[in-house]
Amino acid sequence: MKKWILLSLLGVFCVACGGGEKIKRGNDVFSTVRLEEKVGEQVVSVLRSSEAVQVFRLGPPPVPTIERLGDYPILETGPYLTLDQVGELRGLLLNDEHYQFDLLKRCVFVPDVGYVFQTENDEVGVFISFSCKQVQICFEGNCLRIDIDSMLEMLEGFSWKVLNSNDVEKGRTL
Amino acid sequence: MGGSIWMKKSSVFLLGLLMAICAATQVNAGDMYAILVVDTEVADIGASTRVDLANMEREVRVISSHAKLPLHLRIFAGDRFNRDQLLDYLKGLEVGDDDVIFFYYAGHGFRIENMNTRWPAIFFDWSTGGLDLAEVADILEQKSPRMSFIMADCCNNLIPGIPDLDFTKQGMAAARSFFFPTTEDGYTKLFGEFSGMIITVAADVGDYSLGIDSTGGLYTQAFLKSLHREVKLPYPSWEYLLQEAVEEVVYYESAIFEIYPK
Repeated sequence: MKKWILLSLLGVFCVACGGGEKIKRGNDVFSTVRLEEKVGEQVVSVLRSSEAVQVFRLGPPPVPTIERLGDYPILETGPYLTLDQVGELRGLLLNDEHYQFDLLKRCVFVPDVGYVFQTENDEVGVFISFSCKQVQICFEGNCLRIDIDSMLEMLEGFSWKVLNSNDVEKGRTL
Repeated sequence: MGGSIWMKKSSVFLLGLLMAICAATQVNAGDMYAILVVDTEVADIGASTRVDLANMEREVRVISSHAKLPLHLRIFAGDRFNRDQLLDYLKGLEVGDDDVIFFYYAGHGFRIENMNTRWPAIFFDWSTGGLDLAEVADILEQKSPRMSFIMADCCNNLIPGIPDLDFTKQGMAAARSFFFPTTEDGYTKLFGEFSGMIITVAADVGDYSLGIDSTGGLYTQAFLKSLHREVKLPYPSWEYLLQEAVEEVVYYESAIFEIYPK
């Protein structure tokens, strides 16, 4: 009996320790080890623990007069995501298997959609280019691009769904 | 004393003969104008394009040396990666009818809907716009060199929602050999004897080119690997060389080429 209790406690301890490297969705656990290596632990921490996530529809850069997100003009300010939507988005972004880390397309990055993940102190911008099949993750003025061919369809479908979502009013917090 | 004068005359005659032979050889082979255009400073792919630049700069020196084509090298990289400077240079370039022009680009590439060739456009920046590779080919073709070789290791995908990007503003690590190939005949046959134009790019219409930070563009690596293999053969062929390079990357990208012999 003691043995089982010890093993259970050990299991709980391991899950707690591994919290920075894996995300659980349903019964599946996904690794984010390579993502953390690429973008840094702090960025993954913001993606994982953000209190609010807002979506924007974006366009190509050469429009100097309108409101921008990073370098990109905002074509439409979308809603803050619901908790379920944030969970779904995290399930897509926090999974090493959804990224291609070693190769990078030589493609002109034009974002279609941007997400801003906010915590009390930090903000991470996640820009998605459907034509390049790439994501650009920006934190504290530094941006990094990664190919996302394997999750593109899911991310594109999700993005249009939340942009057209009537679940919450535009601009309202969770 | 008399023997000394004879020796001097003889030396002068031999030297003159040697110079005449060298001059005749060089006139026959022409010169090589290598133009390397590489976006080395761009944040996302700069590491891989810098590898490409190093590899291609080394390669054009090898080609020049082995094919006996005196090299005129011009690099548009770093703060010289500039559309206007490149266009000015291309338009002002003067070449002879036995010269070779070697044009290489590595960086971001794209296409927009009104482009009507298979070739992509070079991307400079959002304010400057692009330069259609077909326009580069046209400019070089008008100069009537013996041979033009044009290569672009960049994407060729459509950027949606952009009607115009101001094209006419004027209006595998195996390839990274640090050893020169053991034979020079292949280079002479490929670059010293071919007449016409060759264009090759890493991605067909709508497709992408891929690079790795540590080893550079996949197609540049495949091209160099194929070139190094082909120059060792007794009868090297541009057709086989480029076909093998295309097949080398077939699982990753859809590289294409066209050969237009004179």
